Amino acid sequence: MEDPDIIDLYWERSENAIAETDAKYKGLCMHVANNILHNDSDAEECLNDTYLAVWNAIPSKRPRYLPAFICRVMRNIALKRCEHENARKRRPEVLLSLDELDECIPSTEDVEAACDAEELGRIISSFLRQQPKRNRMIFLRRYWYFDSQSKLAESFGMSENAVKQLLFRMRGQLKEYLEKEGL
Amino acid sequence: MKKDDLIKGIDAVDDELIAEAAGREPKMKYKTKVRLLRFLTGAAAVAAMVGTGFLLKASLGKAPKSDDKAAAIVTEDSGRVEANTEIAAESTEPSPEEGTAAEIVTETARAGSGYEYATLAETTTKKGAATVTAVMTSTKKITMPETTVSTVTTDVPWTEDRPFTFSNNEFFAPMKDFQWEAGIVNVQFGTAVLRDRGVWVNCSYEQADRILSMLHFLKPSEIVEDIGFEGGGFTLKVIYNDGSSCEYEFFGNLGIYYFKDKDGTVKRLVDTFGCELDIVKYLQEEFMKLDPYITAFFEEKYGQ
Repeated sequence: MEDPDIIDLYWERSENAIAETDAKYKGLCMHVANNILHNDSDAEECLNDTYLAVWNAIPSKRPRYLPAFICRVMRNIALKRCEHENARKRRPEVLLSLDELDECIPSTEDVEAACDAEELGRIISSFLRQQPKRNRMIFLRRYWYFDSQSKLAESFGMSENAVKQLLFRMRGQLKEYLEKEGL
Repeated sequence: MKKDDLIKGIDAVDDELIAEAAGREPKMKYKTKVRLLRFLTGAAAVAAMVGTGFLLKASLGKAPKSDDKAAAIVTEDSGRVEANTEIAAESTEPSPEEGTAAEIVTETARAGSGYEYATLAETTTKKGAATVTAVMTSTKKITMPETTVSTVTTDVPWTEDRPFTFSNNEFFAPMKDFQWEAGIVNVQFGTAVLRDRGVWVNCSYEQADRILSMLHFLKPSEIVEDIGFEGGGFTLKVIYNDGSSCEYEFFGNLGIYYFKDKDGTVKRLVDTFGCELDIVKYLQEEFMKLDPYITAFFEEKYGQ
């Protein structure tokens, strides 16, 4: 079923919406949750929470990109659960990928300067759009989906070292970009 | 800026980019080559590759001492095979029902990308169950101890019209490769297989017929081999009666399909053939159903 049709089901308050969502996006959702929680049963619980949250959110929302919308909900729930239970037990991959982002932080004097997340998201999106498609996919797979570097290498037919180098370069470029933007 | 700000910023990246990243990888370095098809000379038994319900697991097995290769025993679960593992599966078991030797089918499958599958050679007959003998050899490491060769026999029930199934729910897993490979295994029985991300799925008679219509349209000889679908498009290698062969590369977007002719020119399928082929419509429907992002991929690669 096409995404708009699924969304229509939500708007009609048809319970088939959940079934169709499950049929189409369960794999993706579980991938997202497992990258964070590394635990199938936890991920399953998050999945149910996600379906409920999506059910409650649509309507009134009508997401333009349903998979991204669902993933975002799933990711937030999984991260919250992860932090709630025990932050230290968060899957190392998540911590590792977040640690890597240290290199992107511009070296401004005013480290306390607050940044609006939405605005920053817009700037980062703009940066990513300037990148080749493959590069931005790898970047987001790493820092949004928390895929491991080895997994990325496998998926994109690259060596792990090449993935590391690519991410390293992109982090540097992002840092420069953010500095140019005055952040 | 604090790190938390940056993390929140990445969290807030546009949905469009998030969705794109969940899609198919834009470029695969490798090219999957699958040798699958050999028509039966006697047309009795058929060797078909794995159906959805018959994902096999290569699990721990004891290697025959006489063989240097390690062994893998195939069971009825899915197994995980590491990237770039090549598995050859052979079926040599005579068909018990038809009394004719089954075609030997050899498949070299590229396993990887975390696919949860292993390879099976499956013989099916028109009537009743068939015996399957699968010999799996791995040239590289599998997620199991030193193994590589083993034999397993299992019964595969014949279903008159096994429903064609896609694992739609799995498709959007970002790490999944998307591969289509199709082959007609046996015309008489209307058995065909499509390869969906490493899993061979049997088609119904009707679906097989659709694929056949395409192959017939291309006027291949009776032997068609090396059919490999790759990267959202697919390639047909057709061997003609005079021994010459040609690979037709099909790709497309939004219902408009193209193919690369022998001379390398790219032609619009509909213009070339004057009609939309059923199989193209069918594949397009499936593409659209499975992967909305594939359209973006094609737009980027070939333009519209």
